Amino acid sequence: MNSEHVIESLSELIDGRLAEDRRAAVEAHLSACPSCASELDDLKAVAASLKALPRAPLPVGFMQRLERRRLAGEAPKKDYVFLPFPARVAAFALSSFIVGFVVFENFRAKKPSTEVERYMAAQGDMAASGIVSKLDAPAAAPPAAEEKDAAPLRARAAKSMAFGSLSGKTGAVAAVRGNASGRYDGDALPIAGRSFGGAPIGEKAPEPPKYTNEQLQAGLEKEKRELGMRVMSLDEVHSQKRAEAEAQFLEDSGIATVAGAGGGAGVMMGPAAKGAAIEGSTPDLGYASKRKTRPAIAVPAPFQGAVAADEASARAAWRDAGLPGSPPAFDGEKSMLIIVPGAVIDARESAGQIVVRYRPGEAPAAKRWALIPRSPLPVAFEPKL
Amino acid sequence: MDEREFLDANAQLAYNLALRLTGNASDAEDLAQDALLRALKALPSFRGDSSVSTWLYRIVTNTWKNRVRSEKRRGLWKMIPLSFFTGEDEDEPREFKADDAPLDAGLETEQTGEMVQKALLELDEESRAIVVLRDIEDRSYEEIASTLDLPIGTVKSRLSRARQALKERLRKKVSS
Repeated sequence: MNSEHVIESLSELIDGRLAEDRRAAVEAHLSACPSCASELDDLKAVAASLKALPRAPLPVGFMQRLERRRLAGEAPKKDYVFLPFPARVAAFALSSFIVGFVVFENFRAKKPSTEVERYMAAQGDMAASGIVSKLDAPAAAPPAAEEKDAAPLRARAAKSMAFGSLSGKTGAVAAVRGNASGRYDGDALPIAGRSFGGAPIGEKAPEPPKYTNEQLQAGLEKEKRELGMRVMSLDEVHSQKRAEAEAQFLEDSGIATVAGAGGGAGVMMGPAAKGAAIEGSTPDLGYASKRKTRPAIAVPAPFQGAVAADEASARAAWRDAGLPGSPPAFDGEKSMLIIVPGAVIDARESAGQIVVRYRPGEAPAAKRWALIPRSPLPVAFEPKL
Repeated sequence: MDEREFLDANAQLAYNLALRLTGNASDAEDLAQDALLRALKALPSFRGDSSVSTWLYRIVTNTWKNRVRSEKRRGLWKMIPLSFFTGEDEDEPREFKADDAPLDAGLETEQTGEMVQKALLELDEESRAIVVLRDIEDRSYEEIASTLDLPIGTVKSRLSRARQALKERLRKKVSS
């Protein structure tokens, strides 16, 4: 029976390591058990075959190569050195902690702690992209209830940037930034921020809400009412920004400021700028009272338009344009005289040049010219039929 | 004993053990030379607590085990026992039968040495080292325990299991 087999003791029996009484018991079993006796024979055969393995002589040149290495002071080949087990565990734990800490810091929701921070968060933590601002922004922190509502509104306002721009009279530049965790606030639309995205640790990522265009539009209108915002078209924004920039340029140049020139070129076009209140150092040329009586002046055929930055060239251009009298006086350091073969409509900077649009044909002398800020850019004349 | 004398006296011993452990002459020379150079370096601190041969065996086996460990970590699979691929548990003794052909009959052939060496290489490192030290180098249990830094009881049990495993492998080779 297997339970009586003495296989475990056979190895020691071969080596003569069994105590006397144990050896006697094992030998007694072997005499009665052919299986164990056979096993003993096999084990002896194995041991004998191992002992019989020939002792291989040293390879030729072994000692010379060893001696060479010894004399050269060559160090034994270095095995890869690994930290002992406890040190490996410690190193792993430390690196895991560092990685975990960094990840946690980046993913966790950063809740505003102070009243000011909460207010800033409610305001969208405005940054600097110049797109969104609020009309009639409250001077003090909003009540808690309003603050609670602000987050989804903020997120939606960010989303609305895709449709256009929100502009306020303050002109403040601002952008809505998502909270750092990428967590969605309430039913807020998913916003693209600088966050890593995803749900807070331990929470399942929410399904992005689905809205129809009508819902989006209605929501946007509601927000506009609530936030006192109005949506401007991109054209409006561009023209307003351009007008502001040009007005600023004119103001800086000390020539003139065209007030209320939104959408226009913002360029002082002599007395021809109808309805524009002209301020600053524009010379009073006395045309205004005579404007209605001025006769149209024919344009000489070869005249295609001229630009003059000094008095001499202005006179020459004036003559070439077939205009009577002398050109207006202007400061060549700050402005240029442009004369068109027709009536000046406007002038604007576009694609690296100043484009002067005009209505071709005869026109009163006052409409034939304009003063524009001095610029190194080339001037192109563009007839508008 | 100067260094040269030490090398002359022990090179054969180191090489033979290395050859049985590694299974090929090239690796054996590399291992034996490294172990001998290590031994030379440590010779001044050798206190004579054990015989020089036991001490050298210990250096050879430790150098070998470190090397095997490094190779395994570097993805060299040559030391992985065949059982890893065949799915057999090498430590589980086969149910033996009295009518099995005696093993010694098969081991009397010409290829015995090669077959035994191959079977030896299929054992795990520790089993191989114990069997080599006991049955080839004829070391006592105490010397093996000292060489491999193991308790005597562990040496006994592992030697028994290693011999059983070797027997099974040889039986398969003989029968095939």
